Amino acid sequence: MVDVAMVGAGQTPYGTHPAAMKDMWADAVRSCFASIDGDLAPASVDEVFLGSTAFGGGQLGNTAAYLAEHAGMAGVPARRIENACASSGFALRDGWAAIASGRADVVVVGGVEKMNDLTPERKRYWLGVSGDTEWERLAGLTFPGTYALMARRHMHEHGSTHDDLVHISVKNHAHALDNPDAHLRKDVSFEKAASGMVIADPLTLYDCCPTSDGAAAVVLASADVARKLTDTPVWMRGSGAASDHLALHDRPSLTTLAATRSAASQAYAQSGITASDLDLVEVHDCFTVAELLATEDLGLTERGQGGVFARDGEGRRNEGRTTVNGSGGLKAKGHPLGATGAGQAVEVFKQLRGDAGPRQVRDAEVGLTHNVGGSGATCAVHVFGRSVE
Amino acid sequence: MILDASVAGNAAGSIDDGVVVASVFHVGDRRVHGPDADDLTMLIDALEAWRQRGHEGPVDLELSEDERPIVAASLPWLIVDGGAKHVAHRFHCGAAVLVRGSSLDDAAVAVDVGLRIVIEADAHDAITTAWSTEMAASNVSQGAYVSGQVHDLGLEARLGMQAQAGPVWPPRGALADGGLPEHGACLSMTARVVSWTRLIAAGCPSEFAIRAPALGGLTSMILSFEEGPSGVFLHADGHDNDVNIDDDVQLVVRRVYAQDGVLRYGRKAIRL
Repeated sequence: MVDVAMVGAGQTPYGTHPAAMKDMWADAVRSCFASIDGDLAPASVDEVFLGSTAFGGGQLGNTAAYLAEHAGMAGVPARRIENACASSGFALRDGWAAIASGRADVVVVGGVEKMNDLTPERKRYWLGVSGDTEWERLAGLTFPGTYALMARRHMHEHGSTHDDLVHISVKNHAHALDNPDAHLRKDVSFEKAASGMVIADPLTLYDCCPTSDGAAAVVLASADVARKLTDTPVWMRGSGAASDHLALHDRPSLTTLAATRSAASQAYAQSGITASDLDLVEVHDCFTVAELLATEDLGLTERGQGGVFARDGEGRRNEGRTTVNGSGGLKAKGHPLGATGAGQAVEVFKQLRGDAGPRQVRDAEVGLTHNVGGSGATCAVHVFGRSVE
Repeated sequence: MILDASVAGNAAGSIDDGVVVASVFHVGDRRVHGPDADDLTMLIDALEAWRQRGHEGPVDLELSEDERPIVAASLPWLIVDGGAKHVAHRFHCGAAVLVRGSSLDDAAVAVDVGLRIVIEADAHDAITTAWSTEMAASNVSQGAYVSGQVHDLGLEARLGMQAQAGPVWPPRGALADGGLPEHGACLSMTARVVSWTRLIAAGCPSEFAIRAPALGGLTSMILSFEEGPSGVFLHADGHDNDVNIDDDVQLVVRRVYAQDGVLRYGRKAIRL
């Protein structure tokens, strides 16, 4: 296989954007190409892989062609990849595969979502379409509900507490203070997060990520091309992906995401990197309990010990064992569904090149992204390094 | 007659030539339907009570064309309309299965005071109005859309708990080897709580957004069946949301929601 590197990465700020979807995407692409050390134009890439749920349905069909044209890539083969919140994590995998297989030399991978220009009714509709509609949804469940069921079961089986989840919320809000692209840049105290309004018992408002507008893009290149474009490529050393039962009730356990474990296992095996090697991880904390489960499923701590990991501050930037969501994560950086996986890669790119400014993780050599679709029906995990081996 | 037994969240009693069920919900002394019940669910509950007393076989029923598939899927053991010895009656917030030719003075049916759940008139009016609003044809659901075809094709699994051999529930369309799944037995109507959550009104799915405020939110549970599969179900009737992991529950037929002018029924759970 051909070695694959990220040579450029950029994103819009996440939040409530005045710009239209196509303009956010163009902004992200411009930012991405501006970060490339050498000369490369959007029109010269071989393919485009775009993750999006096309939230709102405004351009549900042929989204990729519409967006590629608007960002200087008319005529380039483009496709939209939809796997709910894991859409651009899977786009990243497909872009990686296109280069690793030798089919392409340079590709653009990214994602975009425009979520906050809809009426509340339309927004509620689109927030519900990625769950198990026929059974879960008719039993009253949307994603706050499914993750609440996981949280309560974890508390029952492993003795974790809501305070453990509060530690995650407080940490990620603190991390986002140093991220100018974050949606929620505000200091949240433990007391405030612990007393939030209940959304789906035991989860409160401070356990839930916001709905964000935003776009993110990276350029991947084969080793030969990457070395011509930059002296500091970020190497994609492992790619893993998996699916699981869509409905929570079909899974053998509520306290682990099998898709995460499978995807991580593949990415670790391919990269030769283990969890203990990781300096930073960007995990899919759509709800705080999702980060708790991710720290276990990615092997950062033992199964059942995610609460202790959070309580002991093991994920705090430059303080704990491994920096978890140094960007603020979905919880505070924001969650523009289809852009989230690509946005995680943007953060790792900046961290491994030492370009993360005040939120820089010291001596960052190896990082990981973890992007989950829905309540765990799909997952993509990628391992990145400053060195190719 | 005083109904002093509990069946499927209702009061029940036996008489010489049949069985009677009635709603336990009352506004003052007036019997009213529970938040998720109606005449059809009472009829199904009466037939289930009749079966629990050792009866099964043909029953003459007066059903609309819309109601017939709901009853057939909910009570797969029941043979409907066979020139039967028994006939099912509906009356105000109750139903009875009687030997043909016998009669019931439904005005004399009362629920034992110890079984009654007394609710405020305002609360009852709110839920009644909410159902009426939800069922209006003009109320196009803003929730995730389930077509009538998809809903109806799943009725045997949704109401009768029909499983695929294995057992797997709900049944799938193909096996891992590409083969066609075989029908298995129906799951039992009792299960154990694996986990639960209470969604506050503002956090409820939008298809429940009209009723949820009147109920103060919704309780949803993952349940495990002794046959192996698990499923997710709403708590029935909204009056008792105090559930815990490892509680045993019973599945009953109730209204689930209305979409595009059509009322949908399904199984909901009540604590045993």
